[in-house]
Amino acid sequence: MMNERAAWKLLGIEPCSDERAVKRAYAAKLKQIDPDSDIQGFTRLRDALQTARYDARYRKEREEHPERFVYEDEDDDLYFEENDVGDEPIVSDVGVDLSAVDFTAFGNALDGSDLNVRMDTGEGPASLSLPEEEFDEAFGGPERKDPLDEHFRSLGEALSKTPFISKHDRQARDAVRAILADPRMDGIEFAENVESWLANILVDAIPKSDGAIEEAEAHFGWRRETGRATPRWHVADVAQRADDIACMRALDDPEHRWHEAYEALRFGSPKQYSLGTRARLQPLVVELVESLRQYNPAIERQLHPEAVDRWMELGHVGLAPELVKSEGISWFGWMVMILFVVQIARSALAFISGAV
Amino acid sequence: MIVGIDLGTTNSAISYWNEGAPELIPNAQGDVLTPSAVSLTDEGELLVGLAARERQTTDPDRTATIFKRYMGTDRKITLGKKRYRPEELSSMVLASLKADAEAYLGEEITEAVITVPAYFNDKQRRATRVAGELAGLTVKRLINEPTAAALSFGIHERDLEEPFLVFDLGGGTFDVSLVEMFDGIIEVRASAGDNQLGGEDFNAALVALARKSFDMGEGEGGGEGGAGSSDGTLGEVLRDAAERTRRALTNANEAEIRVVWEGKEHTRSISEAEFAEAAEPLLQRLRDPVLRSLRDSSLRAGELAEIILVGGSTRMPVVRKAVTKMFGRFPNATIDPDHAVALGAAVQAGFLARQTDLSEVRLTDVCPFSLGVGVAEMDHRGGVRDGIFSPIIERNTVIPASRVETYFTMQDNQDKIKLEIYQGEARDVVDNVRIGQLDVPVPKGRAGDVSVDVRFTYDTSGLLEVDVNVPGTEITRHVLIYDRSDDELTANLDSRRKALAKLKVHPRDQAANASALARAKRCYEGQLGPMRDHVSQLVGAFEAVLASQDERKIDEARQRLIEQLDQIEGENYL
Repeated sequence: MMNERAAWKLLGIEPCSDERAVKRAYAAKLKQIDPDSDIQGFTRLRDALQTARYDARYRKEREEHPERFVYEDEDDDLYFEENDVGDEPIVSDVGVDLSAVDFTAFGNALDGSDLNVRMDTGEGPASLSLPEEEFDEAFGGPERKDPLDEHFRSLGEALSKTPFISKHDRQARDAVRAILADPRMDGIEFAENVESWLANILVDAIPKSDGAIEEAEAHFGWRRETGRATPRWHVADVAQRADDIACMRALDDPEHRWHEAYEALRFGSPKQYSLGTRARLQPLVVELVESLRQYNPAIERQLHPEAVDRWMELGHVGLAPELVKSEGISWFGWMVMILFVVQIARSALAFISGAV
Repeated sequence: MIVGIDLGTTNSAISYWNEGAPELIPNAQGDVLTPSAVSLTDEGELLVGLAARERQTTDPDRTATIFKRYMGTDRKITLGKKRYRPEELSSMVLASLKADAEAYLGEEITEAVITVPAYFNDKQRRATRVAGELAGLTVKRLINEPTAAALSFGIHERDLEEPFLVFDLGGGTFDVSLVEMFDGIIEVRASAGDNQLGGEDFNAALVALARKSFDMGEGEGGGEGGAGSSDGTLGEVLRDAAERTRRALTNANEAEIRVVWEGKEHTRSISEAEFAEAAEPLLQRLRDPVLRSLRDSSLRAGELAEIILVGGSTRMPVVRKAVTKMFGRFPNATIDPDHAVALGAAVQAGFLARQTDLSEVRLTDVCPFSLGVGVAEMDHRGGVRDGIFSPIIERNTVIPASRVETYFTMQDNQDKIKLEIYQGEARDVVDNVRIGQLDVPVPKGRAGDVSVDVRFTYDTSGLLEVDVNVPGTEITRHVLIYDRSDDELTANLDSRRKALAKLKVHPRDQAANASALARAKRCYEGQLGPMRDHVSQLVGAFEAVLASQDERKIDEARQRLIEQLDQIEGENYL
């Protein structure tokens, strides 16, 4: 909601990596105003606090682990745009370039068809290796003898063994289920650790981790948390992925209103369709593409790029206007429409867009 | 003088800021806790507090308890011949507390800070305000119970730097708040809760256990909403017995549940393990709000300096064990769980009165639920869907807050936009609480070309203002949210206040005698055979002394009576 420069200025301090200093500055400013009589002023101060807090955390992370921020020096704009969950770059803890994953492969993999799949995750298995030492530390040292390591290892294996997940999907699901069934999950701290570790591993393995994500989603309810401010960006990423999966499932259903449009975008150019079908499908295609761009941009990457372009162009030039219109009205007509939401800040971490 | 009031499900308390520290005010009987119970005597006199609660099993038709659970609903509770709304019953408790404070402080009290569960929704909060007004109190501020508890803790621990968690399990509600302190700022980072989970539900679990072994059938009220609320006297008797058993289980591994019903005595011993098993589903429900507040505040359990237990129900060992298991460490039980909320309310009262010893401290709280409007949107599940919730102020936003969102028309030549205002977390508005509605005319135009800016302003008293502005036009709307379906809540406040004021209140100086007598009568009904005769004699003797009107003698006789009752019942039951 507020950009960093404005936030630091409002707090009256120089940008720094010291969260404590941010809080001190905020406390001093808060004591100068009366929140009850200056609600908007107070809201701005809160925004400044939050923005500066995240910025300070980010700066600190950068100071401590400069190696994790190599991306920024590379020309990798695409990556940041497509994963626009805020101004914080999404980096894997193990420094694997996620953008190397070829997403076009994965729609096919979901269909169970192994044709034409190319999956190159760079170092592959390395990206899924467990940071075991840290993990052990978090859960009370290596002397602990329990099957949890095994389950995590098995999950890692299932996710890294081959380029295709289909064969190992069950193994991955079972591993996640076993991890979640551990009795120590009753402990909040333990559950939190498992959640972020799982999120880490799963996000690195997208889309191979889809089955596992579904299992974990059912337990943690990540999708309910989408759109909420959370600095645990791995969780946000997995949540988005879980939503993508659910969306694709829905679109795969022949009963779904957009199913045909979805198929058309995946496989065909408009030329394969008769003029009437084209006219009927075209508004649906536009709706679908707009919706995907807004909510599930990752799915568009699995569509046939040329098909998407052709269909969308059609909207601008191709059809006889009366055809579009009549079709359009039949579908707009039944709706009792009130409002259309503009997605302001899909992610609450989107600070870059200027002042309130 | 502004007083602080903890209006609880089972007990209430009143307090004030006394030169540097909050202090509780004792009632006429010298107790700082007043049971939230009201009862009408056969003479039509109103009893509030312990005396009323003692009559809960003997005169269930003329006595009301746990009515806080129904705040914000239209449910009416019968007291003798008349039916009362929950806020009216609450106002009787407030009026009694007010009288106690006036007697203690020697001045008229007209302003108060009242605490509410953090997870109380807008309607429940409004009902609480109305209760205050009916009792002749201007409610200066409603403050969330866990926030109040945090205040009374924080004011003593000003140097604590790490965030702490307040775990507040009361008689009827459960709240969790995460609080952080720095440089004189006490900041609530997040609150979450369950406004239908409390000690009463644990009683209900015990009652269900007892019913099974006593062969009394399941009973309609065995499940939710307080034990036995539906089947009159038996329900009350069982609930009373369950409450005792639950308290006994605080200090013992095993306790007996014992009821006398239709001339027969039923007893059954219940072990802690058995109780824990019966309460397991309830203990499970403690987890979600904790997790949610941690997520919302982006804090981790490991970062918490303390887990602070508040609310009488946290005395239960099963709850303490569940908390310890959840966090992997022992909670902090240094503050009195029954007093913390009322003391915190007094601290807030001190803030409002701008007491100089508090000038360097600031408190910020959050809005624990999301506020937004219902919209139709193109979603990825199947085209346009109506009735989708679009939050404008998201839950756990620090208040006061003012946020604006822009919405667009969805239909060509749409001439108005209907804004329905909701509170809640569900994606479908039907699952949220509808708190208002507003129609805004808009200029005609193509779908998506016409926009409206909707600004929500939520202040520290929990008042929501909605400002709508259609850019490029002169059209603006400004409303304070007020739901017409609530007419009954706020209608005829004056006449209702007068009607309530007409109720003859049992003399304050007689409260101790009334409650001793009520207790003796309850004890009589709970006994059989020779013991019953013995209690009967005790009651007769005490009534004889009462008739003498000799205060000194009465005091002595009451002490004796209470001692003997304690012996018979094996405990002092407040």
